[in-house]
Amino acid sequence: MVKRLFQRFGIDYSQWAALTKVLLKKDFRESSMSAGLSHGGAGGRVFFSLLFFYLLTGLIFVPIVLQNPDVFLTATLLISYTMFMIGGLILVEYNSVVISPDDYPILGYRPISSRTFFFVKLCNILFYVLLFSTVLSLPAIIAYFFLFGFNPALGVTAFISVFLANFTVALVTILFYTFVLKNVSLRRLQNILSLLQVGLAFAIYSSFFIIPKLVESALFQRFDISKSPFLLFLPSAWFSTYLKIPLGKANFFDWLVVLGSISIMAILAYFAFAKLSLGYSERLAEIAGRTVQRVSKKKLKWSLLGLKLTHEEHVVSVLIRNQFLYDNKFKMAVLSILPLTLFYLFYGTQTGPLPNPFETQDFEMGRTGLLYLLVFLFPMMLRTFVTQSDAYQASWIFYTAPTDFQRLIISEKNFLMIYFVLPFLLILGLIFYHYFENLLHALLHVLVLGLLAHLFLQFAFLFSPDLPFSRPNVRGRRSRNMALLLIAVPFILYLILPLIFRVVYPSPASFLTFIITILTTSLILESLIKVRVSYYMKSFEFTG
Amino acid sequence: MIKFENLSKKFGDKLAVDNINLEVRPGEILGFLGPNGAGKTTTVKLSTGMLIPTSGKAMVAGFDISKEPIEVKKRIGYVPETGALFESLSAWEYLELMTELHHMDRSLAQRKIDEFLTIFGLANEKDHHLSSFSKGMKQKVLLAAAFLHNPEVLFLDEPLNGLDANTALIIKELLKKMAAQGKTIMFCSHILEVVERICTRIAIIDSGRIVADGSPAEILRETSKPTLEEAFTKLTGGHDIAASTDEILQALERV
Repeated sequence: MVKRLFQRFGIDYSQWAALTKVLLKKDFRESSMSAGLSHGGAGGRVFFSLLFFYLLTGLIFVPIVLQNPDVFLTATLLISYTMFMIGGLILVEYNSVVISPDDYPILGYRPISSRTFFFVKLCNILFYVLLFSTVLSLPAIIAYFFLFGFNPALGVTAFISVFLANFTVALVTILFYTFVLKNVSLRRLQNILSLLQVGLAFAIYSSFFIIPKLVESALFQRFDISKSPFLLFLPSAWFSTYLKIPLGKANFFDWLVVLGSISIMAILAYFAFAKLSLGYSERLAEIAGRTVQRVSKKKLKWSLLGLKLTHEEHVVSVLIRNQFLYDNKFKMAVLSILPLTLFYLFYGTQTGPLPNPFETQDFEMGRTGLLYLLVFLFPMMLRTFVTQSDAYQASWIFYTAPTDFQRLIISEKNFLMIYFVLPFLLILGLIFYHYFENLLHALLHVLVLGLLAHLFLQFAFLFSPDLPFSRPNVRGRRSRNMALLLIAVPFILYLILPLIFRVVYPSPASFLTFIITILTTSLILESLIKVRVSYYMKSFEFTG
Repeated sequence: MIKFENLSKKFGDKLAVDNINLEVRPGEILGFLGPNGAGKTTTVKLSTGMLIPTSGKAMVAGFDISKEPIEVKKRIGYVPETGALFESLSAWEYLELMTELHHMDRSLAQRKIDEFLTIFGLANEKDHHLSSFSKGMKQKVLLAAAFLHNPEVLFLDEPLNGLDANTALIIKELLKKMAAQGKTIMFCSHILEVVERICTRIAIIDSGRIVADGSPAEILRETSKPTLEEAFTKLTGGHDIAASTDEILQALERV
């Protein structure tokens, strides 16, 4: 029966079944293998913890759905969020699902019809869309089930609308991705994808603050597509219109919008068909095969501010600099801190200027805490970024050369501070100076934050000392680590910082004592890292 | 000198290297052969400190790799099979990185890097990133990186991979001369003709165990086979070539 149906559409059932199964297996195993394992352990754990994290982010919509009877408004917000997340996920983490340069060399000479290949790819995409749509919207969907008593029709319609909206996003993403590939170089494409990665991170962190604000906004008080036709420009509004149907509130205009959205989806699917072909894969393989000629512009010196670098320091500084300049993943992961800084600064100053802790005795963290959060989050993020890389197999040189691992890891920490944390602190210093209008206060404040950030970085290296760029990137691991940090760091921060501000800042004596204490702790931690490294490295093996 | 004493390595339940005993003396080029997955690369990784032995001992240049890894690493040069390099670096930067890791004098290192790049015909591309290099060019960089610090012991895992015929000839001749100077060389390869031509001794590993050890002539005598290929097939449990090809043909024709 199914076979006959497939045959009718020109799809080879057995090829489709075999390829679909293999593609899913391959996706899952690639995560495991890049975790350096021959079994599914770490990759699987990372994948499931990522799903769990997205499930948690979806919880934000539960109070929004339950407290606001305007189903159209809440569904539009939910669908907008999931559409953005799914689009970003497909482009950044799962772009090989859409189309991969490996497809053609492996399958190009096999007797597979374009239609079968398209359907295989489509099913692969549908699987991920269904999975991530479900995880991101599940808490809200359950809320819709119980919004007006038990209303299964509303819950089911909510799920269908979220899924179809995200499927449309997937189709648009395919077309966008293939369009970009056709018109820009692979290097530029990598830049675009990296920028999208930054945007995605930005959306995740800011959504917690923006979405509740939007609900309160006056803009959404008269939120109805038939009353406000400008909403037709918002694709999520098309799909949230579906929810009016089970409530019996859909008018003629709403029905037109529903039909229109389905038609648009069909048109997109038609165009995507041409792109998800083996012929297109051939072109992609050709683009991917082209090498990009790059030349190193400037050699690094063996000294820094007059201090002669040790061999290990020089090695680490060259590697970090070059990876930052030429490895897009590393570069964009580091740079993602900048839009976050701007957003948190904007949000932190909504209730007035940043308070000067030297002048404010009763320091409340409030929204300002977000800005301070970054100072501590950034070094922890950097530690993760600097140890994981797609170039991890090249780290064999550290294991076969007579290198001092202690010095290598201490240099890794120091250069993260010098290259990234220090410039970031300088930017913050300028911001503080703008608000405090006192250069000395701004400098001293930055000094305290810098020393504390260094302490956090030392702790990160103490708990997990790793050689630079020596661990494989596992799909989703970064997102999972970020989620953990976002949960753990604020707790520590909101405990420590107000105390420091109240106790340390009021008198010069307490301030000086504090600085000396931090420096002493830092020296002790430095020794502890060395001891830990010498102990840990005895059991350290190359992951390649 | 390289000496393995009851060397073993386990990955989970799998015994990749099983109680190996082997000695390579200075001036020798040991051809280390074996079928795919036999344990060649694992043995080399154990000798270079990239992996830690489950049991047994690996002595390299007179030092135990488990006890004095730094002393061993100062004295070895290694060309890995994977050919992995930090591709964001230029050839010059990569070689400089190697000399820094070996704590070489900086002015001497600069001179040697320039010399090696010229010898390997890479002088014009020295500032080009390794990502734009061909496979053979990358291999030349790896070879230069292994030779730069003038090591006593060389571990070469498929060192001729991707090299053009001229460079391959130079490397083969160079290895012979290096051995004549007293260097110890462990040469892993699947190309039996090359091994037969340059190696003074051959060790064959199969399923993690050494199944043959001797000069090419000794191995031929012991196996009573006329060629190294046939001896290798016999020692590693390979099927009879004629029977295997017949089986394949039959499978092809099966309807």
